[in-house]
Amino acid sequence: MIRHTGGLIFRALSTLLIVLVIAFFITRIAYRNPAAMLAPRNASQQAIDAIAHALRLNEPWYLQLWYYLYRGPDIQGAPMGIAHWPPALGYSFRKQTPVTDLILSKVPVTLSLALGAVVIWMTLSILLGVIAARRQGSWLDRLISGFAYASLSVPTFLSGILISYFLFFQLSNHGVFWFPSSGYVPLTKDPFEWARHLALPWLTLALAEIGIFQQLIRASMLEVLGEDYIRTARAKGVPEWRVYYDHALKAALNPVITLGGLELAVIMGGAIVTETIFGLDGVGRLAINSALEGDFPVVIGTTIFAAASFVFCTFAVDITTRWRDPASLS
Amino acid sequence: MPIFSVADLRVAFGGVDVVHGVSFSVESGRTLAIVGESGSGKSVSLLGATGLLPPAASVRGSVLHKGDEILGLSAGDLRRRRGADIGFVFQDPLSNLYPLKTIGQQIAEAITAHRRVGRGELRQRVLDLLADVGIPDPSARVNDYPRQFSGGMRQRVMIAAAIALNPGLIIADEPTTALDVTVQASILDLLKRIQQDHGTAMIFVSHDLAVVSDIADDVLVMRAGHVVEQAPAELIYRAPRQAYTRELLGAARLGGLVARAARSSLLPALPSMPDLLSVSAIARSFAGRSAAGGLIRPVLTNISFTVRENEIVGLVGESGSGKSTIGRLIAGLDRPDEGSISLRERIYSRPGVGGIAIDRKLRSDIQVIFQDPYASLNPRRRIRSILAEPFIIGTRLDAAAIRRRVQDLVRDVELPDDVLDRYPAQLSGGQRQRVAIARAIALEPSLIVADEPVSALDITTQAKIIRLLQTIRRQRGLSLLFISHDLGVVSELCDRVIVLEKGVIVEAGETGRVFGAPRHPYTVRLIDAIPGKVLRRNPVPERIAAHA
Repeated sequence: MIRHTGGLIFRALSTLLIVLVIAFFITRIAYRNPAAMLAPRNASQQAIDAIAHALRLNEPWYLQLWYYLYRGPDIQGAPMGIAHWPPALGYSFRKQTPVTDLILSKVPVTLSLALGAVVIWMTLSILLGVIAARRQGSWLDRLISGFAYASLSVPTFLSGILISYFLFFQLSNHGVFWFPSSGYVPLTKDPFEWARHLALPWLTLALAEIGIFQQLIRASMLEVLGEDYIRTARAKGVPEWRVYYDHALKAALNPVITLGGLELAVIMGGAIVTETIFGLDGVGRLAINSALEGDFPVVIGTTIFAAASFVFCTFAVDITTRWRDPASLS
Repeated sequence: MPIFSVADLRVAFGGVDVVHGVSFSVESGRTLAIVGESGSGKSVSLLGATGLLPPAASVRGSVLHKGDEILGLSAGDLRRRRGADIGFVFQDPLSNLYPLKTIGQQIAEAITAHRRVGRGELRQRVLDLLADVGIPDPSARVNDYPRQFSGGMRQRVMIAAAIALNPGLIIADEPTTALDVTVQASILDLLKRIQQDHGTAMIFVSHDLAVVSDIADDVLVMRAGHVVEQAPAELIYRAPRQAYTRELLGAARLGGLVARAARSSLLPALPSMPDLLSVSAIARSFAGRSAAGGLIRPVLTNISFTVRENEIVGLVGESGSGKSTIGRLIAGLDRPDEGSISLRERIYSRPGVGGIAIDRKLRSDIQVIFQDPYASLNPRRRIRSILAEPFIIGTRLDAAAIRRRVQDLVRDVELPDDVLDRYPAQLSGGQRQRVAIARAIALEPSLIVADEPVSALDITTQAKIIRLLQTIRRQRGLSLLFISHDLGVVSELCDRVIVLEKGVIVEAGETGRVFGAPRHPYTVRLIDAIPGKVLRRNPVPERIAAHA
């Protein structure tokens, strides 16, 4: 177990390092002249050169990479790099703030958004998946599947706008102010307002995922329901609801956990559309804005953050699967 | 009054009848054995009668349990009877136990599904049950998962769950079929003891008349959804009326091993035949279960034997004895840690790295037949392409020649031509095993390693496959290493027997000698465990044995 965990950590770190290097080179290719992007609109060539020099943008790539990794850009005399302790992700050219601080300030929003959405879509998918599997082929099954495919094929930019239109705009027009249109209230400040502000974005994200997960759970359940041990449970006289939820569902969850971890990681890396529609200042918006501005330390930083969420979620999936079924150890 | 009786039971799937009006009944303290081949409808009848078939099945007729009609009861009412009044033991205890729960939880579930019981009392009851079914040190094992148990121990756990609430009726569906012969004997003893202790009625389903001979009071023989014969056990074994019952009795090998062994040596391999395969002092070990400790578990130690040209050698032992490992080593699917294996005095396998050890020419000279014909044929390929493959790999024949050879092969294994265009799933188990045999003999090997080739088959099909193997040996002059846990099969087919216990050869010799006068206590134990003890003690009249 210890050796296994050690190997996992080593693999995770090397993955992150590779992502970092690739992200670094991509930004180098994508932004031919970052100094010009950073400079005010009608700055002189001299001013641009000065920026390039201050940020060491005119040095060879390997020196730049080294600076990025080891020292970070020398802005305000604060050397920061990934190889320092505590590791930092450099300094935002635009915002004049350490990238790490910038990302960390957005994490609560994104985390709230992602975790809330996961809870909603998993609960609904499990419920609808089990019902559909139990009534396989019935009108109820077909109705649920129809809903699943519909939700699957509507993109979030459409469903998000529709949800916003009906549940915020139309409701407000009729004097019902249940959901605000945008903004974020920290959980620690007011849990009720936190949930109220996030309800619509949660719904938007959940709607996009329910389709996949309901179908996955249904298929996985149908497979498990044909197993001998389900018949054994019935032969013991175990009540049907326990056969479904305690036996079949438990055994059917493996693919759901695996895919759920990946989807969670994707949202952690930035649910850009949802964050934009509902004015949530999360990691996704930070990433897209800095990409448009040419603020490449932030671009690299958010990329690594997304990669780290992936690594973390995969790790969590691995641990959960092992904990659920120790047989997979051998 | 019978505790459970079925009258004119009919089961249909999608309009097709599979059980055509079956009637039987069983009384408290008695055992009814239902015997038939797979597909005879024996399991389907019982599952249908107790509401365990999927909703797609239609079940008609009458099923009385304790005098109440239970066919057509609501799912909830049926559920309350299952587990509480009717306990079930199924065939494969690994697939029938839930992999994600401890055995303690699974036994407890059988109780909590019907009764409200306090935690402490529940635990005590589970421990008592485990002790009752002979699990050593119950309090240490109660929190283990099914995979941590051997096949026999798993079946004991299943039985513990089945008897948890002292049901008046136990339905045991092939409960010993997947088990070793000694384990089978102990499970049969356990079921018999439980039945006597509690005065339970039992319905015991099996494909083997020998297995039920020690336990049945009445026997019902089924075939293709019909009852063939129904009579007290005594009459079934001593004076069967139907030809089909006699056929089953013949296949059950109740005539005793020695007589059969003597008869099977129709074509004894002459001692003067030269050695074909020679295994000398091989050893093999695997990394133990606890990966952290890095324990080395020896599987084979100092194994030496030879197989002569045109000889059938049986390799017997219980599961875990290392017999399949020997098969893999000889087939060149693995390498030994020590020693060497040679074919016609040419060494082809010795210690070294790498899994696939032998060169391609030898590959076609040594072929393998595996146990499970369901798993060892590619389900997405037609039989024609499965059988053409060895020729494509091993010869330079053109398409037309391969076509002819494939057709010849199919005839050689006594299959109709039309199987060629079917998929494995469309064949019966016996037909599939014939395909596997055809594939193995395609390139005219000098040695075939057959690893439990008939263990997954019905007993009557077993007999046919054994005859086929004998014919092929005679016609093609090849040698066979026949790996099996079933001494009956080995006694019928093999010229010589090697007995393996925990990776060591404990006895080897001519089949007649080993079964007639076993020298090692382990061999004696194996032979003793063969079902049919009662009948062996009072031999079956010649009239029946003659059909064997």
